[in-house]
Amino acid sequence: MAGAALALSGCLSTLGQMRDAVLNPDPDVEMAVPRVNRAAIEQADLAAVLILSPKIGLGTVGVAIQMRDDRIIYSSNENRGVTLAGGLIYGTLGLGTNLQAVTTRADDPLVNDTKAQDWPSQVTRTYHVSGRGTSFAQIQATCSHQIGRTLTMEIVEANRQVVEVVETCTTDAGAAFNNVHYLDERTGRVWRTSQWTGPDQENIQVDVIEQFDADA
Amino acid sequence: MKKLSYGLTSAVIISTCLSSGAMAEGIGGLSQAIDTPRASSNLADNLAINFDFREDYRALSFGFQASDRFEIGISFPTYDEGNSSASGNELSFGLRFLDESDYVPSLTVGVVGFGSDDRGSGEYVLASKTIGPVQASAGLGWGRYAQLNAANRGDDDGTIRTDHLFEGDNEAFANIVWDTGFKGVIAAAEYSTIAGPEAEETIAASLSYQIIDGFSVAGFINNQGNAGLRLRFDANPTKPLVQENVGRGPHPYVENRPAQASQPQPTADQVFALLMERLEKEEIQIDRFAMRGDTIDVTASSPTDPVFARITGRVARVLSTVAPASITTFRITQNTGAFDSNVVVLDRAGLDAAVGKPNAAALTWGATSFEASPLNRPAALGGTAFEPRFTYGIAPAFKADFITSDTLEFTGTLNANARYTFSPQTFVSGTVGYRFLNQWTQQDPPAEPQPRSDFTSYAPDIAYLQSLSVRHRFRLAPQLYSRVSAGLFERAYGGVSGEMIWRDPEQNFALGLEATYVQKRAYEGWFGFEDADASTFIGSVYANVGQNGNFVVFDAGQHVAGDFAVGLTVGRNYANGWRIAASTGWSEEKDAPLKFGAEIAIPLSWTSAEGGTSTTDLSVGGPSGDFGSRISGTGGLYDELRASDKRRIEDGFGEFWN
Repeated sequence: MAGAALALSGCLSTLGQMRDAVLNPDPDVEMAVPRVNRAAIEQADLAAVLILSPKIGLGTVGVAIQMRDDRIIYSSNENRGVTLAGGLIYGTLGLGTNLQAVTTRADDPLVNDTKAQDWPSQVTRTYHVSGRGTSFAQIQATCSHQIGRTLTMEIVEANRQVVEVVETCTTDAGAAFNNVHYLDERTGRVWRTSQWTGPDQENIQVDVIEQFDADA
Repeated sequence: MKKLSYGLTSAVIISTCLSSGAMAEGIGGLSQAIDTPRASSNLADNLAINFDFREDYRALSFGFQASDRFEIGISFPTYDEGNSSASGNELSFGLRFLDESDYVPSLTVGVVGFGSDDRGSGEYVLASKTIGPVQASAGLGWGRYAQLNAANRGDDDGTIRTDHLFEGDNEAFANIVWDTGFKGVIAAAEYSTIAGPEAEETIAASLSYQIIDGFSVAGFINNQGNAGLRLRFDANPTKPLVQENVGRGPHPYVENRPAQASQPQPTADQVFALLMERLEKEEIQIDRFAMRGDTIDVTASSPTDPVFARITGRVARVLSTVAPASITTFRITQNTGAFDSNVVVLDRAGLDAAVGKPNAAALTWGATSFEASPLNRPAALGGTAFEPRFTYGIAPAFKADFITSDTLEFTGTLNANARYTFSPQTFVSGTVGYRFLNQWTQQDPPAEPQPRSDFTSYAPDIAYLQSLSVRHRFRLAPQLYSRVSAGLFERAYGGVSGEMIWRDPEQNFALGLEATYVQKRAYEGWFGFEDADASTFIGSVYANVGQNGNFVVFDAGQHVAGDFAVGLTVGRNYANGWRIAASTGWSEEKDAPLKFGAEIAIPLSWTSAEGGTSTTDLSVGGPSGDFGSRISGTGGLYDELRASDKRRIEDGFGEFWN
């Protein structure tokens, strides 16, 4: 896994290396990124995300189609998509090897919009992936984080003032991976995130085009 | 005329025709450094196929990690003894009884060549410790690990003995295996106190290189003047070579809202049309649709997806969006081609409660029940009248005599298959074979036809009629599946055959009975017969045991030579179409040691993201000779029904929501 073996040294250059390794994991895989018509999405008042699966070189735009148990299901025309619990990728479909669910603590900062400085030092999440039989295989990972740059970032043709957070995670089997998040500086809401979603599919990147607003 | 509906499937058959005593080197398919054992990978379902080649020895071996602790090996070694060669057929086991921890090594006990009586047999106790990329092992060995030519051990007269196990002289061994991390290169070195022709102790080294994923080649040399090559194929049926979910995703599931029942509801025609339209994009075909009362009943199949649980889930997802609110039950019928076998009954409220949950598959399984499909069902939508069709194709098959031949007697046969299908239940089919690569020599026919040992008289260098038969399948009752067949079943026999299988979809076993009367076919020509006949009556128990598609097939009855014989096949079916099995047999007429065989089916969907239900089949060894043999090509029903086993569907239920 790209960047998995890197250890956090605390210096920004190492953080930058990890970030780059996560966001650009394999230059050999040609990435097909769809063109996003932001104006049309805004005009239709849709909540939408751009989803990238670097492992299989696939990008797609998902539109919010359902809310189930406070989680938002984003789906594309080909029924590929992600389920987001706040900013946590709870599940994926059609992006490599499906992620069935992620369970985590109630105050997981990814689930609840949390400013970077308020994140707990460690979060443990359990990833559920289908295996043989009726019980999903479970992979538990413990993540600690480090806060990186504050910057203005263009995310799908819109500039966002964000704070970079890099999570360094280790599974119960000893495997390591990194997540990279860009949180709204003011609210802690996720605008861009690249999260590990399983041992085969690895990291999936989600760029939020238009946030879901339950009150809208 | 339609072309090749069943695709191009290659079959590899490796014959082990001689029932001589065993004599072997190697380690019987278990995990090994070079010639000494090492700890296994601990990864359940790992499969390895090794081909060892040395100047005076070669062996084909299979190793299967049945669980993270238990490893099984079957090997077919051949040892060159100057003017002749001796062959073996070994069954081996390895069990890790203590796990490795930070300061304590793992402990493994192994038995190689169980029931074998010659140099291949041996036992060991092994301690192993992994430090980073290095695994170091040391142990004590008996039999082949203590003597150059271990002899008179185990079975010699058809009776399996165990009093020799871990008895007699023993010697120590040690090895170290280093995964360099560089392009799949693995280095190994080993030491044993066993004496050889050139030194009192044996020291060996090897280097292995992974050519592509799953395939590696290794070279080794030792201080006894021996060197060799090993080709290795590694696979794990549960870990496909491709990402599994790269195609179109499943339709979103929508929970039922009974409150909407008071609103106008779609008609059956409308629901059927929407269902067809949406599932067509997912390459799922609906052959029958009925909507009555609170139930929708559909028959669904897919030409590309071997996992019926996933097909069921995708149908349920679409039904959740198009079915009226008053519908509370989805009944999804599984069709095998000839039969409607299971009806998978899904409780809609149960699906509503399961979708999206971290334990969604388990909750869904709890909302699922199985029924036998009724014999007669009322009229329904879909189910267009079957049109008779002609299909044809060409499939290569390769065969090598590993055991009795110095040249492997490699043959490649091109089989031209044709089938005319009158109805889903009835067809006539034939195969014409031609050996485009042939190292076999056709022998003159014997004075008297033999049940099987005259097989070399059936190997012409010209095109030959392999089979030509008609087959009809039908059900006598919802749980009683039947077949009648007539014609030329195989190269050596033709006649008539009937079979019945009783199976209840909710049960984990089925019972079968086959009766066959055949005449021996002529050695020359396509249609003649010899003056010899045979009858077989064989009862079978097909049982799913434990979990995850494990199965046992037990056959007993009168076989081709008129002998009473039993057969045992133990294996594992995987939801994705993989199948791994080992078999053996015993006949009252034969007092030779038990012979073991292995069968492997590798599905196309494991290696290709496009999917597909066809498989590449590999079979090796197994019972051979005149006794304990049955007629092939009659069209055993269980091959058609095995995909309907409840346990097998359960094994794939993790894919229900995929």
